[in-house]
Amino acid sequence: MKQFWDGPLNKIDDYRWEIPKTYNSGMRVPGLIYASSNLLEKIRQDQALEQVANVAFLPGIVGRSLAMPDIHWGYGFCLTKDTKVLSNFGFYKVIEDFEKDWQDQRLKCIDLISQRPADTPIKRFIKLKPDEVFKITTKGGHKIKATLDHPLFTPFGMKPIKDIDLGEKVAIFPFEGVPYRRPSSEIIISEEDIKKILLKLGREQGTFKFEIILQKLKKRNLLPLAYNHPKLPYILKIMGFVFGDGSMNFIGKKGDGVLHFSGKPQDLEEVRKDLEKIAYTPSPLHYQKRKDSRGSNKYYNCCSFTVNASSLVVLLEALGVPRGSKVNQAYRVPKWIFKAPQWQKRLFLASLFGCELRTPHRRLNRRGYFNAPTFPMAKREELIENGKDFLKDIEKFLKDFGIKCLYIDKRKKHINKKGDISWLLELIISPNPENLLNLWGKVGFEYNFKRAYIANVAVQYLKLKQKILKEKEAAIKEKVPRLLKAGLSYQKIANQLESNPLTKRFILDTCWKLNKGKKVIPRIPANFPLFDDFLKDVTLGLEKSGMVWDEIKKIKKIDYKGFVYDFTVAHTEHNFIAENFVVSNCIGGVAATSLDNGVISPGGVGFDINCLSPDALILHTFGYTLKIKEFEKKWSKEKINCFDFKEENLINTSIINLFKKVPDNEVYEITTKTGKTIIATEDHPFYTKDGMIPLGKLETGDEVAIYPFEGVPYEEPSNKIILDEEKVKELLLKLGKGNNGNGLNQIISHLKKRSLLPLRYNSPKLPYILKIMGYVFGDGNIHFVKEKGEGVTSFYGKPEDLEEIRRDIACIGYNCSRVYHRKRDHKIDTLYGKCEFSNIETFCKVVSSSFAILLVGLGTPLGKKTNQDYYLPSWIIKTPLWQKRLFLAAFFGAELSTPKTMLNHNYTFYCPMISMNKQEGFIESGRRFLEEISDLLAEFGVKTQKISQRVEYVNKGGDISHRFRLILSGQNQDLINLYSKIGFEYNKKRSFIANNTVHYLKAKQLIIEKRNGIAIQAKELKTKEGIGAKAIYKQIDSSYANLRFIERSIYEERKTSPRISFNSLSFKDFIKIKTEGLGCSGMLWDEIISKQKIDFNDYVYDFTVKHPHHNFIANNFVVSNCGVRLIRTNLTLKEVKPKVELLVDELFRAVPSGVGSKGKIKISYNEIRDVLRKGSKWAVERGFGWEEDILFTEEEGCMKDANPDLVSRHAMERGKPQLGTLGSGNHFLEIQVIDKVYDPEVAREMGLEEGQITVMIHCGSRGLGHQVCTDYLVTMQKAVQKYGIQLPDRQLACAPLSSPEGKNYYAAMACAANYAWANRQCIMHWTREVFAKVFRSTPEELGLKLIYDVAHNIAKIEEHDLKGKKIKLCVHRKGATRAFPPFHPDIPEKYRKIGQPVLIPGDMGRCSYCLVGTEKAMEETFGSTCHGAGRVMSRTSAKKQARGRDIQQELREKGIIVKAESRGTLVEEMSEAYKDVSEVVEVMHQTDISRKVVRMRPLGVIKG
Amino acid sequence: MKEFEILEHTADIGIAAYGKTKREVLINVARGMFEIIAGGTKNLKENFCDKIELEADNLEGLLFAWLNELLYISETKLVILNKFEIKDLTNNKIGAEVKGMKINRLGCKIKKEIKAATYHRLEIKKDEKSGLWRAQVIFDI
Repeated sequence: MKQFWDGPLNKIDDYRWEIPKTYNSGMRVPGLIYASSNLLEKIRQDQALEQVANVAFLPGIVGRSLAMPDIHWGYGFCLTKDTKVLSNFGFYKVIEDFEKDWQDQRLKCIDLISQRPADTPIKRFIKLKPDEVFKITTKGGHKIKATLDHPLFTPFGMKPIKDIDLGEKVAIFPFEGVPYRRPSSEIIISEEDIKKILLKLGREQGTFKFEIILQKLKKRNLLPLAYNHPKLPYILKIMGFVFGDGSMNFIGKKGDGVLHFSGKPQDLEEVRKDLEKIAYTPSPLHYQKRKDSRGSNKYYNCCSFTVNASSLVVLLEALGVPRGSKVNQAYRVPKWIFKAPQWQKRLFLASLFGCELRTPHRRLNRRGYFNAPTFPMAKREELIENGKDFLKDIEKFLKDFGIKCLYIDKRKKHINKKGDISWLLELIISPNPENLLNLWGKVGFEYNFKRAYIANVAVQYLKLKQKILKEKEAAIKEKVPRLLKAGLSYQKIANQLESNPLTKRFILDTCWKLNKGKKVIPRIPANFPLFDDFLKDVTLGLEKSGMVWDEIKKIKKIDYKGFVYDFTVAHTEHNFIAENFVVSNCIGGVAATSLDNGVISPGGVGFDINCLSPDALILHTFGYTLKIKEFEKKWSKEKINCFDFKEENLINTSIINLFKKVPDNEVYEITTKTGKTIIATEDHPFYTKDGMIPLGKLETGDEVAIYPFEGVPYEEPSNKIILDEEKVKELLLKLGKGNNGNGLNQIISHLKKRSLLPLRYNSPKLPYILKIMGYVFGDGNIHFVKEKGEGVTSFYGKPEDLEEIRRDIACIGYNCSRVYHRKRDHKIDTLYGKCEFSNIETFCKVVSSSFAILLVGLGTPLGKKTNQDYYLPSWIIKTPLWQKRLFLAAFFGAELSTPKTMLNHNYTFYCPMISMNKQEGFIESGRRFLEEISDLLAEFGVKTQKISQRVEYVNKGGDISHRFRLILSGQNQDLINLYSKIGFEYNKKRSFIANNTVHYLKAKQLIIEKRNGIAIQAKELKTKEGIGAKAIYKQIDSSYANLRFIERSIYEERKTSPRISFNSLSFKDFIKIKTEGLGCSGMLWDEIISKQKIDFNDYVYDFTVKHPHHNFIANNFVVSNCGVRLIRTNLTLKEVKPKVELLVDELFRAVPSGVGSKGKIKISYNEIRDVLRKGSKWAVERGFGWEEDILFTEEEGCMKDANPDLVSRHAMERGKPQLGTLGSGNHFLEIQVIDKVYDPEVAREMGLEEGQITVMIHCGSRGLGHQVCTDYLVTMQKAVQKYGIQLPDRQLACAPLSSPEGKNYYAAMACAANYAWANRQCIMHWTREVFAKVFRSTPEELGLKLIYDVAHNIAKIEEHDLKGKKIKLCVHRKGATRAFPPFHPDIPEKYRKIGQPVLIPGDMGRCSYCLVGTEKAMEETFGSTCHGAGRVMSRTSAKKQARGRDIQQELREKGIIVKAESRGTLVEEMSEAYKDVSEVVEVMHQTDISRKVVRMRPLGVIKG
Repeated sequence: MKEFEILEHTADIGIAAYGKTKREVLINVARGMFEIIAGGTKNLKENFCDKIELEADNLEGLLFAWLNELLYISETKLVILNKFEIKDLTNNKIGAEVKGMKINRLGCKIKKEIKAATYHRLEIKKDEKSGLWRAQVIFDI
């Protein structure tokens, strides 16, 4: 394995590594890295170590240059090969067996935020030889073998096994599942089977209704369907549901197939997801109030959704699913399921049970027992026998899982209005504990979140019970009789055997009874918990995730020789379930450096190793090369457009890799025939004809799938208004809509309700509107119906394209009708004579006046397009290129001709063309419209030729139609630009052909270039060597040229460049070959022509030259002196929850935020000098806060060495208007609730407890700080030369602390720090005011006390122990927080005993922490700890990820209300862009650098 | 010739600008910076004008000072600059007139706040092969 860091590293102990001074002659001290050996392997991959070495260059540095990386999700290599891992399909497989096919597998994991089980793809599979392996056993009897550094989930987060004590709680997911078996390739449903069903349905072969079904199924790759088909698991689950709470039928005159699913919303979402996975599109959830069917007058909320898909209905029918009413027809469990592997059977059963089987319910008055589960079904009287047969089928199934059924019960008669009699049949399953364990632990429930969770707890409950009984039984049957035989006294036996759960009393009793010859029956002890209590107890803090707490009982070292394995999973929670244990591991950290009275560096105030993320590196690698970007786009595009089985794979495994993978392998560059270049690590999978293959295994000549469409770069649209209320009103009055009653207001309110008014360039709905408009300009029509005056917008096109339009319309917030078909006869007089034809027209429409008005208001023509003037709406010209593209592409989808090669020339394409008809009198506008389109095209680098005009026909009314044609350039480059940058929307066929065209044209260009080269070479050969055509032909020997070509090249002058040779592939054949197996996805095969291993060193070096690779320093070097303060309240969650929105609004108003925000404090130059000198004290003196606040601020809110004379006028000018502002970026103000207390005693000392509300403020010294830094960097550049300091990076510019430059900088930086403290003090004051106002109280009564304020970026002179001596040091904490231990003189009296509070802000979607400093930090890290989460995603990629998402809404759903000055900030700051702060904090806690006290969860967030 | 290109990283943003002359590259790098701040700046109306004179030890220092001065003007005067006329230029001195549009808080055009231009990876030199000047700066945002 090639590693980036190849410098020396000495092992000090298991967790400490040293870079010796000898590594580089400039180093003054060694570097020290805290890491495990596994982790170190990963740290070596990036520049972290180089940086540690660089810092060691700083003159005067003492001790060591420190690093505690929190960059990685480190994954311990820790599970033994026979560890069973649970997949998302509910089967388990030993970890070793994943080696071959891990890329395609998904695992079960737990989403700790939503507290739900989830599933995740696997990012990486790891295999290693371990030193030691341990076996861990829990009280509930779960066992796992792992290495000591493998973490398990405990109430304190993920903890490595070595740190877990006996008796400590760990999380267990009791559901066991069934073993995996490879399904056979036997075919279940073939094309013939479907045909039979269709004939049975009365459809005739050869008709549309017949063929379309086959086509649809084939397109989704569902035919033939075999047991090993990757989609079968999903189908089985869906089938189970339809057998239960779903139904399907053909409805309406047309006989459209519809499936209907009803249930709880969260469960239905799961079903919907699975339907999407088999490429069907379910409707959104539909809520309806329904009357209770039992006849009472109560209503209940019914949630359901439908899928309109005849092909799916036919498929399911072929698979044996009953269609129509289930009560009234006979059906059985489909036979083929009996032949499926057990895990597949389980999917069907579990999903059926999710609908039908009763929830686990304790038996009343019997501790430790459950009611017999029953499986009910209703049948008409005459069908009872069939019903019983069906239940017997289920019984047979259950037998396979070791589950016994008791009997079938016939109960309750029901007579409906028509007089039909039906009966309720019930299959009663044995409530025997072993039986229930099998039922709930192996089969369980799918699509029923609540039942699955209760079943999980019940399994754990039963396991504990069984264990106790087993031990008792062993005592009764073996142990006691044996000892009795040996002649021991009762008392002695009792003493010897006494243990939990065998009490002395029980043993004495047993001895006595056995001696008397009486029977002893083992019973559960009286203190065994009731199920309800147990449920509450074991899921405490785990909510309904299905996890339960279990206790560690034994940890034993075992002898183990084989490999150990682990996964890296993509889910942000980074866990998975192995042997019922929830496992993961994670390492974080932070770096702080220190230096003695040597130098001080504005740019090098510490190194924040947070940012040296290898993730960033890989993102860089991929994000940088344009070609890879294309790939990115391709994937994200596929995700939106296509649900083809193959693309599905791509999305799942690759896009996540792209962002998160640590490069730890060889790096290759591959180039394909059409010139696509991709750089990737060897394990990066690519899609080939043989499936996903890691790059390392690809060879030259192999073909990989390419998506030729490129698109255009994203650009943030402006905030300007396109359409406002006034314009809509004007339009309505003009159309005569305003006169009658409420019509006008209704339309306006409809638009407002959907946030379409005012409509802005950056409105999230605009992209959809642009597409819809583009299409209406082509094949759409808007008109108002005469009588009612209702607006109708119709769309004409192919059914599959109309479906897309319907989806987009739903995204705008309107309902579109289904797709209608109607046959139409046409008679047209054309120039060429009479033309008669008939066709089937398909269309859909939106009946809504507000929708029509919206489109018309935006400039879409109303009514017939041929006899009116209209132009390209001028606002479109002002949109960013990507928005223009949407309009154009949708318009082209309707109007631009399909790419086509010439009739007698298979290699050359016709010029693309747009045509439109206009009647006499409107001719000019037609021409102008096309000219405008032509101008737009020019922006994409597409040239146009001309606009032609001719008379088309004369209609009945005698009106003459003119036909205009805009003819586009047919040049290669123009065509490539047209099809690869714009392409088509709402036209799958054209889009597909356009993709092929781009690929073909590129290949063609290549051939022409080759031939050009040959022509030149041939000429050269002739002149130099004087040989003839034949000799040259032989010498060149190329498949691109024949003899005739050579002859022409050398004997006849060619006037034009050479053409494509006639033995090249024609376009038609090309498509056929290049899309084989890829269907109409638009992807094409491209051949790899070169694959080169890139020297990783060189590669990174190259990369840094072109690109700011090392800019983690740049990122962190500005001394913005930001920091955090935490304020407590007396309020509880209950009191604040209903007012969060109000609080957020009020705070947003009270605290200025955002880019360039100005504060509401007006101060003079003289006064700002006071701020810089006094810090927090100035604010308190001015009335912004209380005297005691100062005591709870680091350094009492004032660096005494501050000297405003050393701060430039520039800096003051920037700082003056900004005092009391939050700023932008990652700074925030948060209302939080304490949701976890780790150390109740320390928390109490601070005045914190669970459920309490706190407020956190994170901001800094704003523009003033930046200017101070900028100013002093200039000074330091000179100082470096003056004092002869040699540095590896200019960013580390510094000056001796004792020099004038050093002293001045220190004094100026102190000013910036003071400014930051004053800033936070002011903001806190306003926060207090807002709380007082909202709760109609006073800040004192609300207990709004400052807990602490601590700086993140600062250099300070402090006293530290160094080699036993007390010495004054200048500690640079950059991206680090001070963490002083208990009894340190610099911490407030109140906290003297517990240590300094440390505040760690997380991102806005997760949580923040309060910790305390420790003695250990003082010893090892100069009293410093980590400071936050740190980014993992660049701002652009965050934006890209967030495209189409509503981050604000997403957070709201999580219970977090966010208000931000700009959407941009919100997107850049979204949760996924950050590392998980919990992981970072955990490392600090584990290494005892600081200790966790409480965790806070955000409720309301204010952002810049 | 491209005027400039934007370089992007996990936490930062930067630009590489090109020019046939030293003067041109300094103008392009400034344009690029305001492109990051405000998006398209070509068609802004001009209602602000300021004169700058700066000195530095070397060309790199000059580039650093030039950009930071422009940022200072932009932040304190609340303007987006888009016209840069460099009157006199040596390796350690620059005199220029800059023009742009005043913005108000409500119709805020600012997309991204740049805190400062940094010395990190700062570069300005002439490529002997192509004869083009190239300047590279990383910003702290």
